[in-house]
This record gives sequence, C-alpha cells and structure tokens, in this order.
Amino acid sequence: MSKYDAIVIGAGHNGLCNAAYLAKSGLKVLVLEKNDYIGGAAVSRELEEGWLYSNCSYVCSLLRPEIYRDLNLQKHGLQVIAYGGSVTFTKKGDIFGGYSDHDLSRREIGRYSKKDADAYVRFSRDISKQCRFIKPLLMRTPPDPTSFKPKDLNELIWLFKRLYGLGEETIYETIRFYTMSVAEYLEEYFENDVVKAALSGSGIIGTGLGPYSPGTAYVLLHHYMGEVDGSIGSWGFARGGMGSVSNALAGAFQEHDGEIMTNAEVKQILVKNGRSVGVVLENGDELYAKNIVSNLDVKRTYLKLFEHGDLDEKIINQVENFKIRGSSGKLNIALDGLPEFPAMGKNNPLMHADMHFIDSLERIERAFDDWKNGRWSADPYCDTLIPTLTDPTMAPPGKHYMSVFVQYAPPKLATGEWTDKDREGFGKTVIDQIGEYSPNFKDLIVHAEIRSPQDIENEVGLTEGNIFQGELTMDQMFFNRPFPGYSQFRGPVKGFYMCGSSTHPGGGVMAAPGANAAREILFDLKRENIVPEAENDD
Amino acid sequence: MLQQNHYLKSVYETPFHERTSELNILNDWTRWKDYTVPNSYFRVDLEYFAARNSTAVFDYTPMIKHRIKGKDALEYVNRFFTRDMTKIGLHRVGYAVWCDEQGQVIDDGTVFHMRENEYWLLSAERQLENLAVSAIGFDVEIDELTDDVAALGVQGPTSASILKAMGFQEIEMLKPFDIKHYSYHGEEITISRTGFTGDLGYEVLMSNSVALSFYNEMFAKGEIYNIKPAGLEALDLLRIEAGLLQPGVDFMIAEEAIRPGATRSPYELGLSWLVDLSKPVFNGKAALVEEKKRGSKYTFVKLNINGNKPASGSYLYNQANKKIGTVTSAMFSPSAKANIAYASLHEPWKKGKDKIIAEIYYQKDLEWNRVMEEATIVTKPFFDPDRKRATPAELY
Amino acid sequence: MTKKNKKIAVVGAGHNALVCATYLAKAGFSVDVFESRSQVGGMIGKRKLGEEYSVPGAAHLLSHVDESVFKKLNLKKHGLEYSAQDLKTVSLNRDGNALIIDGDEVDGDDITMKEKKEFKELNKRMVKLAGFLESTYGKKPPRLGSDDRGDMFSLASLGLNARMMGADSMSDLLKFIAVNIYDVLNEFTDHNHLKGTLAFDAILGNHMGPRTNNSVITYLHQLTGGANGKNGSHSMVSDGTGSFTKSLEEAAKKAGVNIHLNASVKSISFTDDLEITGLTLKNGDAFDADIIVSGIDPRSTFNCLVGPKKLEAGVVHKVNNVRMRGNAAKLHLALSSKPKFKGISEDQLGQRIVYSPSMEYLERTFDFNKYGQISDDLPMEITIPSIHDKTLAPKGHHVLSAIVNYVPYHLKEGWENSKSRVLDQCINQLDGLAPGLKGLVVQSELLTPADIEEEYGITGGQWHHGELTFDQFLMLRPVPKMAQYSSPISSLYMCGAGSHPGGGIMGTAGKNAAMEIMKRES
Repeated sequence: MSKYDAIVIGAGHNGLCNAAYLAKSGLKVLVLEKNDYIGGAAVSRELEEGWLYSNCSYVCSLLRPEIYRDLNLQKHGLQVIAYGGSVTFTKKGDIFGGYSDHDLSRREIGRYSKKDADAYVRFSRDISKQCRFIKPLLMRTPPDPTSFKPKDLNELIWLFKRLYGLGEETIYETIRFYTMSVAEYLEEYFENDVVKAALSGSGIIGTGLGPYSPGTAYVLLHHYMGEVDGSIGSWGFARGGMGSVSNALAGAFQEHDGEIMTNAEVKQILVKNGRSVGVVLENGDELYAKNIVSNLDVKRTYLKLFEHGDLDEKIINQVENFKIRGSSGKLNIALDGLPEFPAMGKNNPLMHADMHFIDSLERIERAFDDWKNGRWSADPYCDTLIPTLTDPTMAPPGKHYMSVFVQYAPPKLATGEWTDKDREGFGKTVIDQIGEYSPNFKDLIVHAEIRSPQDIENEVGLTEGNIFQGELTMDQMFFNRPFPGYSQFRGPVKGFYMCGSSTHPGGGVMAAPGANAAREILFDLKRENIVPEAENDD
Repeated sequence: MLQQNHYLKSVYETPFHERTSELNILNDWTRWKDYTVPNSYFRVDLEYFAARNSTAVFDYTPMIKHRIKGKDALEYVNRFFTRDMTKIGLHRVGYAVWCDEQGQVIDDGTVFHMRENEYWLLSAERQLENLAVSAIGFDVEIDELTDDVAALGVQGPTSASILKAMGFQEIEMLKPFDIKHYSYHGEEITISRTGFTGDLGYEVLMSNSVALSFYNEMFAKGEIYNIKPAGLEALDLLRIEAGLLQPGVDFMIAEEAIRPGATRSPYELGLSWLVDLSKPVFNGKAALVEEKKRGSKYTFVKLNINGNKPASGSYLYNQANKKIGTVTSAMFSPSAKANIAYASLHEPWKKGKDKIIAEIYYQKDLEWNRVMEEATIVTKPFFDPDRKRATPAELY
Repeated sequence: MTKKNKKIAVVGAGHNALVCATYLAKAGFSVDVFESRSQVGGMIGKRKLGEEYSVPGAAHLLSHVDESVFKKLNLKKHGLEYSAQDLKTVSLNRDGNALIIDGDEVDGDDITMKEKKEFKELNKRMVKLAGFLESTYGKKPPRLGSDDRGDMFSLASLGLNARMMGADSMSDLLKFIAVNIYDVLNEFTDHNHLKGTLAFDAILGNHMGPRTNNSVITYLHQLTGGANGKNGSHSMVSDGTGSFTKSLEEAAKKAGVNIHLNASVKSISFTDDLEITGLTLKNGDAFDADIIVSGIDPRSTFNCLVGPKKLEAGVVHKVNNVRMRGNAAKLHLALSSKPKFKGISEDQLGQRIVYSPSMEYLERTFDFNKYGQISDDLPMEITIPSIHDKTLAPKGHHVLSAIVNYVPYHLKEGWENSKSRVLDQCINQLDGLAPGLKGLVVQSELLTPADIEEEYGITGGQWHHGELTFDQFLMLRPVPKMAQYSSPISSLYMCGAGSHPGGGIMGTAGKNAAMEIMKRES
C-alpha cells in the first residue's frame, strides 16, 4: 500500500518547488535527499566557522517571480537583494565597468569606443526583444512537434503565431540569435575587444562551448532576463546565501504538510508492469508511491536509478547521448578583510559587482581550448563576487566571503581523474589570476574550498558537475529537452516524471522546471492546475 | 578622454551651472542625458510667459551634437535623412527625421549646414553608431561634440534686441533657419534663428570657454528687455503650442522599441513633408515607398478638445465607442486658452467620418473624475505669430 | 515588353552564372555574360602550371551536382566527360594505415565488422536528413512573416516535408541540425580514423572545426545531390575540369548566350527608382540591360558593383556582416613521376585521397586557424588527375592537385613573407606521406585564400561565397529578405553560391535564380 501520492527524488530547488505544488494541490508528498542537508546546488554551507558559503550557485537571477509570489516565499524567509553591474580588469591595468546607471555605463563603454557606447542601445533593444519573446515560454510545457494531439497542435499554433507576430525582421533576427556564436553576434554591434569580451562572458557560463561556438549568443538572455522584483536586467543575492531559496521552498512545501527525508539516497526506482511504483533506498528500505518524480539529471536518473531491463534500448541510447558537460569549477574563499583592487579606484560601486579578469575574446577562446584538451584553463574566465559587501551576515563582522565561479574546468583531466594535487593546482591558477589584480588578496585568505567538476558531482550529484543538468544548446532545448519525445516531463514508464534542470526550460535557479512538471503531473491526475502562468509583460 | 574614475560623478553640470544654479531659486533640477538642468527656476507660468512676451533663456547644452564633415558630406546626409538635403543651403538649418530600414522614425533633429562640406546634427538621442554605419563608402568624418559645445536657446519677442545689444551685427537680418558665425571673445560662436518655442528666437552654440561670460553678458544686456531663465517644464508647454513633436513622448524612438507596432513612420507622424521619395536612395526609402503604396496604419493629429481638462494619456474613441487612438501630449494652452493635444489615431477611425471623443481623467481635491469630451482636428500650430517669420526681426 | 526584348546582363561566368544564363536564354531572354578573366568557369576553370602542365582551378572534383541541371543543359552532349566516376575516398594517416570508403562501405585500418555496420547505419540516417535538406534546395526559400500566399505555402510545405519524414527522422533533424559533427560521429562509432575522415567533409572550405556547431549542416550539404544519383560520390572531369567548363560554355552559346571574356564589370547603373539601365566595364564600355544577374559573391556585388552609397545603410550593414572567411588553399604540383603514398596501392592513387586522421587532430589544427596561425600538419584533399587524364602532363609526368584546409585568409604575420614557407611546408608534409615526393616536384604553386580572392574575385577567398552556417542558410542566405535571389534594386538578381542553397559545384543556385527571374520578369 503506498503511503504517498508522490515521491520526489532530490531536494534541490526544483524538486522542492515541484513537491510544494503537488502538496499544495492536496497530495501527500515525500521528498528524499541523499545529503544530510537540503538544497542540492542552492545551499548555504558553513565550511569555515563563521562563514556561510553559497558554495554552488551563487546568485539569484531567473527565479520566477510568479513562483516566488505564488508560494509566498517571502513569508518563508526569502529576500532577494538587487545588485548590479560587472567589471572586467584589463591587462593594461584599467577596468571596464558595467555600471547600473545608464549614462554612466554608456560613458564607460565610450572610454573604449564611442561608437560602441551608442551601439549598446540597439544591442539592448534587440536582446530585450528576445527576452520578451522567450519569457512566457519559461512557464509553459513545450509542444511535441511530431505529435498530432490537439494539445500539442494548439501549442504549436500559439507558438507560431507568437513568432509571426514579431514581424519579418525580428523573426530573422530571432533565428540568427539562436544559432550564432556570442562573439560573432557581438561583432555585429561592437568594435572594441574589451567591450565584446565583457559582454560575451554570460554567453559561455556553465557551457562546454567557447565564445566562437555557434549557439552561444542566446545564452546572453540568461544575463538579461534576470530580474529581481520585476525589474529586468538586475540580479540579486538571496539574503543568507542561496540556501535561503531552498529553505523557503521547503517552508512552502512543509506548510502544505509535505515531508522531507534527508540522508535518504535512492538506489533504485521500482517498476512494475510498465509503471513506477516506488523506490529502494541505499539502506534497503522500500517506499511506495503512485507517482515518482526525479529532480536528478537524466543521466543519473535513467542510467543509475532504473534497472536496465525496465527501459527501452532507444531511451538508454538517447540518455547516453544527452550532453552533460562539466565545464566549471568553483572556489569559495573566506577572507580576513576586504581585498584591494587598485585598478578599481576609490569607492567604486562595482566592488559589489561581478568581477572578471579576462579582457579579450581570444583569451576566453583559449581558455576554452584548454578545456577541450582536458586541462583547466590556464587563464580562466572567473566570475568573482564578494557577496558579503551586500549581505554582511554571511561572514563575521569585517570579514568577507568571496565566491569564484571558474570557467573552464573539465570533469576529467587529460591526465586522468582529478587528484588532490590537481585540485590544488587549479585553485592556485585561479588565486594567482585574482592576485594579479589584488596585491593583498592572497594574504587575506583564511580558508578556501576548491571544487572541481568532479567534486560537484560527488557532493551535489550533478553529472560531470554540469550546473545546468545538461548543455543548453538548440539540440537540447525546448521540445528537445532533455530529448525529443520526452520534453513534457513524463518519463518512459507510467507514473514517472522528471522535474530537474534537465527539463524545460533548463538550468539556473529558476524553479520553472519543477513548477512545469507539477502542472503536467496534476493534469495526468486530473486535478485542477494551480501552477501559475508567466505574467504578461505587454 | 574620460578618466577611469568618472563613476564618481554620474551626472554633469553644464558650463552655465554657476549662474543657472543661482537663478534656480526653486532648486528644481531634472536629469537630461548626462547633465542636470533646471526643471523650473522660479515659476513655470512666468517662465512660459517670458518666452511669449519678452525673452526666455534655456540651457540646451545636453542636446546631442554631431558633426559630419568631409568631401561627401552632402551626399551622405542626403542618404541619411528622409528629406531632400540639397535644399538646405549653406548657413541654413533644416528640421529632419531619419529612419531605420523599416521606414520607422529613429529620431528627429535639426541639421545645421554650418560650412561648406560640414553639417551638424542636433538631436535628442546619440546617433553615433547609426551615423557611423551609414558612413561606409562615404568620405566623411563623424564626431560627437556634445560635451565640448555649450548651447542656449534665446527665445521670445525681445530676443533679437538683446543679441543686437550684445553687439551681434545684423542679427535682425537673419531669416528663420539662417545661421551666422560671429567671433566672440576670440572664439567662434554660431547663432541660428531657430528654436523649440514657435516664436521669434535664436539658438547659440559656443565653446565651453566663453559660455559663462556670454551668459552673464546676455543677462546684463537683457535686463531692460525682461530676460528670464526658463526651465524644461515651460519649454514643454511652448513646444506643444508650437506644434513640435518630442521623441520618446510623441513617438517611440525606433532604436528603443521592443514591441511590434510601437514605432511610427514619418507619414504616421504627419511628417510627410519631410519625406522626398523622388530623391535617390535614403535610409528607409524602400519601406516608405511600400507604405505609400499600401497606406499607413496610424495618423498623427493635433486636437482641440472641448472643456478645459488636459487629456494627458487619454484613450480616444469614435461615436461607436471603439478605441481609435491615444493622446501623446496634452495641455491647456495659456496663449490660445484652448485645451490642446497631439494624438495618434488608428483603425477604425476614418477621416471626415468619425468623431473623436477623449476619455479624460482629472483630479480635484484628490478625487478622480472622468469626462468624455469631443475633439476636433486642427491643422495649423496652436500658436503661430507673424513675428516668428518677420525679417528683419522686430527690434525694440 | 516581352521576354525577348528584355536584355539580361550576367556578371561573372562561374558555373552558377552560366547555368542561370543558359536557362534564361532558353526561355527566350537575350543574355550577355561578362567575365573578367580570359576563360569561363570561375573557380572550376582549368589553369596552366608552368609551360607543360595543366591543373584544375580551385575546385577539382564534382560531388553534389544537381543532375536536373546537367540534364536540362545537356552537358554530356556539349562535351562533359568524366575521366573517373564514383571515386573512393582513401584516407591516409602517418602510419600508412589507409581507410577506404566506398559509398556506405568502409574498409582498411583495422576496422571491425561492428564499425562497418555503424558506418552503414550512420550513412543511412544522414542520407535521409540530407534528403530533407535537398528537398528544400530546388526552390527559392520563402520569406518569413510575409502574408504572401506563395511564401506561406512554401513554408507550410517545408513543415509538412519535415513531418512526413516520420517522427524519428524529424526528431533527428531538430536535434542534429544545429549541432556539431564531432558529437554526432561520437554517438555512432569509436573508430577515430573513420570519424576524422568523415568530419573532414564537414569542415572542408568552412571556417569551423569538427566541434563547431553547425558542422552537421555542412556535412549534410555535401551529401546532397551527387553524380549518378549517388549521395556524396565524387567524380573527376576530363581535361582537368576543362571538359566541364567547356560544356557549360557550349551549352550557353548554343542557347544563344553571348559571352564576353576579359570584360571586367566596374559598376551597374540604375535609376533613382531602382530600375536597371545597364552596366559599365572597367575599360569604359557601357552596356544597356533591363535585368542584371550577379554571379559573384554578395559582398562584392553590393560593395563593388552597386556601391554602398547607392544602398540603404541597413542593407550595407547586413551585407558586410556576411561571414566570408576563406580558409582553404589550393596546392598544385607538377611531378616528374608517380608518387608513392604510404599504405596506398598504385591503383588507389587515382582516388580521392584525404589526410585527416582524427577529429581531435582536425580540431587542434583548426585552433591555429582561429587565431590566424597555421599548423604544420594540415588536412588535405588530394587528387592526381593525370592518372585518369594523360593530356594534363607530359608522358610519365603527373600533376597533383590538393585542397589544403585551415589556411587562414588573415594570417597574423601577413602573407607576404609566409607564402613560400607554407608552400614548402605543404610539400614537406606530403613528402612525409609519400616519401620521395619532394624530389619529384618540377613545378609548384600555392593559392592562398588571399590569392583566391585576388584571382577569382571572391571576398575573403571564401569558396562558398559565404560560410555555410545556420544563420546563413535557407531564408537567411545571403541575408534575410534577399534569399529569394532578389535584391533591393528591382531587376538586380543574385545567382551565385552566396544564395540558397550555397556552395559546391551544384548549379542549383543558378537554376533557382533563373526560375525566379522568369517568374518575375515575364
């Protein structure tokens, strides 16, 4: 007899969001988590006494405001504080600042190229057009283009009309935008290399692609779609670290009598007569439920949790060919004080912003070449932040926490698996790069957590440590995510669903896949849909 | 070249700031592009009437100034703007719009034929990229000089007298849209008979170094002619009366429009007189030829609305209560004592057949009220005095 | 005006231009072709190497030809002769383990039965997808967002075609179309040499490595068409491609086309209302025309023939953004006797010989190219046409023609002082593959992408008149709104490889353009 209506495997933010909606609908839901803490990659961890690390994901950009509002996350303790801007340190000892103030930002671009400063207006408009097009899709289930079901046909027609409504010029721009490389896309607007390098960064974060790889341009959207309190383009810190997001979602789940079990790693999903009926835990316990939802990535789910015989050979093949590429590492650093960055000048508001230490497209492309060849980048693209300047509660007074996201690091080195020595070398590469721009940085380091993609996989469970649970390229997006025929959150056996970032609309701390999956599950259970649609922006 | 630490000051002061800040007794400032300028100085209505009665002085420095110079300058501007630029003779100014490839207006501005093979474009928005992209294949050099050149509007019936008193010879002989270069304290200073108020008036371009002394001298000489500083709020009233559009208010700047259908062509802004389809290729021509063939979607009109409640942001309906448009700018005109507005009309409105009724919301004692007022289309500017055109200009 | 009275001037006498001209002349138009060089055929035309040797121009093999064009023009009757057909691909590596690919069969280099099967399966799936691509090739691409019924219909049939392939193939299409050949080949097989050889077809002449997304499109592109209806099969034309260009010329002349050689077009003229009036040659001669068809690349067409001043800035901007980075060079060697390649028997010498030992190798080599440098171990497609055609070289002597990939147009150090070094390097590399070859070289020549630009007038020396990538494909080729062979100037058309369906000796672009012109100008 099953005690639960649904079991959700993995207490990442998408799993929790999915569970919260199912519970809110009145279902009896259990969430299972292998670690002794919840959150998956959205966690705040005290790995050095007094310091809280957002040790995986580190900023809140795409968390759907509809979900935030609908699940009352504010009541459950979530506060996202806006921060803005970015800064690129140049080899010449200058900086290129992406200031939040429009005129300031334009003048800063103008220091590098006056023409580019003007071009930025057209560039922002074109990106905003794409954001407007894509945003409503985030909270919808992709249609199956090969299906003739009325539901799919209607959705396809809706989509087609929406695309046609853009007008001829914008339709072409849209196709180009989704297929070009970020470097070539930027080259159509800008002439200065520093400007291009600074803008291209968001096109390569988390992906196993370089700035010249076609299909990276649209990843720019991630940067521009980020919104906090409805204002487009701004990013935010979750107060108390990214764990606050998971905690708030868990709060919403528990408010509706949801149950969370930690230290409960699932070993196997039980399938009977073509239907998933329950799970077996590592400790041998068996738990039963009518519906099983996996928040894990497709590879981990289908290759590790299912008995091979339970799945079609074709599915296995599709899963094996699904591209999940570990391409990023992470450093979390406890600092005894605030590092100085002389190039930044006095009282620069960009100390709060993302810092990068790579100033040309060629340098970024070469960083990618290293990754291709099984090495971590000798001259990496580091997305560096000091969250404690915004949220002082994450470190002891006067001390700081620095989060460094590093692109690129391979899941497996050309020399073999990552060793402790490799990890040390990787950390040194990153710390040396930052040290080049901050003379007192190295002396301030109290503790540093260095995470290779392999470490991220081992701890969080993300295959290859890929932060998006699968590359976000055209062949794995929308109705192709995770693979054709399975983009509607249903798995190959009845009663089984996927709700993680491997599904539409993909990675980032969005909570949209979890909510979208909940909508389909409720549909199958013939329950009223309680998952909100995207708010209209027009 | 800007210093790296320019972030310490996000908003600039104009070269006139030392004086304008003294005169701005309301301490009422507004941000215009990179600069802060007075929104009002002492009383908006008196500032407005100074322009209609004596002379009002506006700090136009934030206006974006571009310079186009070179052998191909004429050919270049003729390809850039929609109107026939060969008709703007040396030392003449022309109002112009320019379009994107879809024939949608990017911005409007005034083009100064400053010297042989040299044009200046004064506009609301920066156009450096557009100008540069357009320059492929042309022998021209393009610069933006906004921060290097100070600009004043000297507007009103006594403005010629003041400039004359300052020693600018034969200023009264300038015809509307004429330019004259003078030497002032060893610097070249350019005076054009142009403005944004629909009255007699001049615009003065000068280097920053002489800006303050010019300002001081003008106010000293102008005292007997009742010279007053005026802010942007008064200017907005003046330009609506004068029948002048404001980009970003009366139409969406095509470069910033995100939603389909948000932009307008020159035809849809009532600016067909600025489009010359008989001249060789220009940016947007193909689309405009097509639009001319197919017909436009929008009609831009000036309205005279019954009652005295300004119709800001109003929806417009026809007699069948179908929405036919929206108001883009509205005010009660102090000079014409009329309730005036600009509006963009669309289907199912039919010229000559449909009524136009404005849904106006207004507040009295914090209470919101709604009235439906009928409006009629006006073709001439609401304010259009003969002295605006008279040459020689009236002197007092 | 009737068709017969309409005068058409075609700029350039490359194969697409000649195809287009011939179709138009057959339809009753009066057609004149203007070619700046002293012979027709553009990049296919045969060239002299020294006094005694002849080599194919830039292109040396026919592969994905449009059979319908060949038949319509009756090229066989006009002298087209194949010296060799259905060539096998012989892929070399340094160890002398050759891999031989013949259609969907593969042999050599320790290939296992399993891998052979994998290749068959791959080929089957790819040919099916190529078939879909090909179904779009013979028509002008529709305009999107247009309310024109023809466009709507054409778009709908495109969608229908995709669905009629069946769910699996449609899924394949949606999944593969924008990805890279590296991932796709890795899904199918583990045989590195085989993968390297196949990936070579995807990257040849394109600015991409096997790991660059879009390289599946280019792979499929070369699988379309095919001489004798065999997808992707290669043929060699007798007289060092001369019989092909000759037959095109004959067919054109027969149809009534006037061909003017050594007639370099300086500019085209049109009224302010964009009506074509004619063209002017560099020598000052003027020629009246009602219609002009440009067979040269889109950037040259608009930048040189029309001139940016006479176009709207938006058009100039778009056209200048067409990516045209040439990165293939052409190597010609005259040899005093037959070379001996390691691992290749003598009777295999006449086949298409490829050097591309693995995808990793290709990617590494491309990395040099990306930064404007040259690797010292370049991928090549080698043919020895004199094996099949004795007229090309004196008795016992031979000519070798090789496309050398990953030679950048923009070489960081500049071409001036590097060309002879690169030529020597190529010869040394070949010497490594065919020991002793160096000693046989009598004459040699290297055409870098910069030389190809100079010689054939193609911007960037880009063989395909514009890189073939998703954003420069179908209705986006060469740029949006001009994919219908038309241009902003009413009777100026484009018929070259810069237009849909793109590069390769297909003739389809020329045919499609002719069809569109007939429709619009009759």
